Amino acid sequence: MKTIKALTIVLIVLCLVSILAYGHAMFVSMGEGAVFVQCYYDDGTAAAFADVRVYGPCRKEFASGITDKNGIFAFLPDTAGDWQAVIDDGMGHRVVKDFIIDEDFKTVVHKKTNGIPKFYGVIIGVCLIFGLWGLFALITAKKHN
Amino acid sequence: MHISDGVLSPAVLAVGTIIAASGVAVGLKKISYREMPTLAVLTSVFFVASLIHIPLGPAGAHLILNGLAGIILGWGIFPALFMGLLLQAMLFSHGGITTVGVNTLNMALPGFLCWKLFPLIKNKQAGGFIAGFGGVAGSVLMLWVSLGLSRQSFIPAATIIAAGHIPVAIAEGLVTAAAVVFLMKTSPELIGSCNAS
Repeated sequence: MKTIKALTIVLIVLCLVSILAYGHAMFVSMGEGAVFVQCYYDDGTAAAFADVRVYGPCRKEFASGITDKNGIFAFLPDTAGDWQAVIDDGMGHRVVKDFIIDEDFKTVVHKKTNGIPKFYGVIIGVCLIFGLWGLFALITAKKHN
Repeated sequence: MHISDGVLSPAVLAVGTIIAASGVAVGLKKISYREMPTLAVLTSVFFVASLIHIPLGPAGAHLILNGLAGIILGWGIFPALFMGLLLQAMLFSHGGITTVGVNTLNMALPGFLCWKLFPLIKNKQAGGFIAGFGGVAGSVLMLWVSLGLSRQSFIPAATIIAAGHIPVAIAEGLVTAAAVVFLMKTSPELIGSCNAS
């Protein structure tokens, strides 16, 4: 009788341990339909291995990581609304992209582009440089006279 | 070469900004209004050259031309590069607003040292190459120090960036040497003309 009791207790303990072990197991499932951001430089080169932070609605950080060799970072959103991705290559290049995730968590609506086209930026920048130095020259010339 | 916002420690940011601000103030005081066109041209050259992306390694590199700017502008390199970097950060998110001071210091100080060393070299063609190469090498060294002082874990990445800039330094040396030879033939008074007093 004692032997049966002992065996029963051992059996119960083994069952519990196996259940606990089952609870800590890790599984992998494959899926499709993730949203991805692709980052590249203005000459078309992929921004590989750049830091990415994705913020969900209410600006809570949802995902972070690095882009792959093709400059891609994928994630699976769980809420519809305004999202933001911030990509930084650590070399001084940073881009912020705002977008909207639709109710099906798949459709991405681009809200706006970050910055201005490079050509216009260069023209504006050079004009500003000459304008500001010209203004400074005018002020110093007046003082000089 | 440009450091983004949120990378550097507050101490490095503060020290870099203070030194760069001092350099900009001295530069503005030393430059006369007659030298403003030269300053505007070289600021524009720096502004545009820094936007030309050269695919090198995982992230790529770009021209700086701080050696050439240094030997022509002297102290004026501080305000010139400050304005160029500020506009790059505002228009293209290239670099950062809070790191403009450190970026200015990292790029202007080696150029300023080139201005000091250039007259000591007799062969001006070699002097041009040394200025171009040294300008980039000095900037890379300062970038490495800035990142290393902010966080130890940045050192491997900074070392990779430094290695990736060796071809850029050689290219800038050649470009600066060619520019110096051209200027010596056409308008030698331009070299070191700014704030010569």
